Amino acid sequence: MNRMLFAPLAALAFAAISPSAFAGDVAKGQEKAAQACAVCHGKDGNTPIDPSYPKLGGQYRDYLERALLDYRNGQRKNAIMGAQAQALTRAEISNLASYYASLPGQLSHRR
Amino acid sequence: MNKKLFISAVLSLAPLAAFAQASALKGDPKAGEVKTAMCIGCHAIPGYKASFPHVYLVPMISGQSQAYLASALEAYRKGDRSHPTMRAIAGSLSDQDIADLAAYYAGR
Repeated sequence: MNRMLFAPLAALAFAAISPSAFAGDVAKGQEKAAQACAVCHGKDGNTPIDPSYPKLGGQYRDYLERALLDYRNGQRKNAIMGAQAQALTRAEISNLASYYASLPGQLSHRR
Repeated sequence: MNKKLFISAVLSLAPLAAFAQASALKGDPKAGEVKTAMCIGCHAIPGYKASFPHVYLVPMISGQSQAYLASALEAYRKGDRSHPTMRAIAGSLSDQDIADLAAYYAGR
C-alpha cells in the first residue's frame, strides 16, 4: 500500500477500535456520578458505604471504562452493578470513567 | 422465634454465608506479601496494559479495601468476572491465599 495512505488509515482503524478514542466529559460524568454512583461509592468516590465496594477515585479511566462495559455486557456478573451499567449509554460510561479518574485517590502500584 | 421461620431464615442466609467464605477468613498481610509473585508482574508496574481480550491499563490495587479485593478475587475464581488471566490466577488461590493477599494490598 502507498505509505502516505497507510498511516492515516491505520490511525483511523485504531481510533475506531480503541475505547480510549472516547475522550469522556468530566463535567457530565460528575453530574451522572452524583445521581447514580455516589450513594454507594461515596461523594468523593473513595468512601464506599460498604467495604466490599471499591474505591474509584484516581483509578485509571481505561480500567473504569472496561469494568463498566463488562458489567453492562455481562462479562462481569454482579446484580447491582449489572443493573446500574445497563442503564448507562456508551457516552455516559466514558464520562463517568473520566470523572472518577480525575479525582484524587488512595490507590497506587505500591508493592 | 417460630421454628419454621427460623429455619427459613437460616436457609435464606446460607448462600450468602457460602459466598462470603474467603472474605470472612482473617487475612495475614505478612503471609500475603510472599504470595504476590503472580500479582506484581502487572499490578506493580505503572502504565502496564492488559492485552487480551481488551487493551487497557490494569487497575491499581494497592490501597483498595480488603473486603473488595477479596470479593473481586472470589468473583474471578468463581467465573463471575471473565478476564482470562485473572481467572487463571484466582483459580490457583485458596480461600486463605485470597484473604492474605487482600489484607496485604489493603495495607499498602
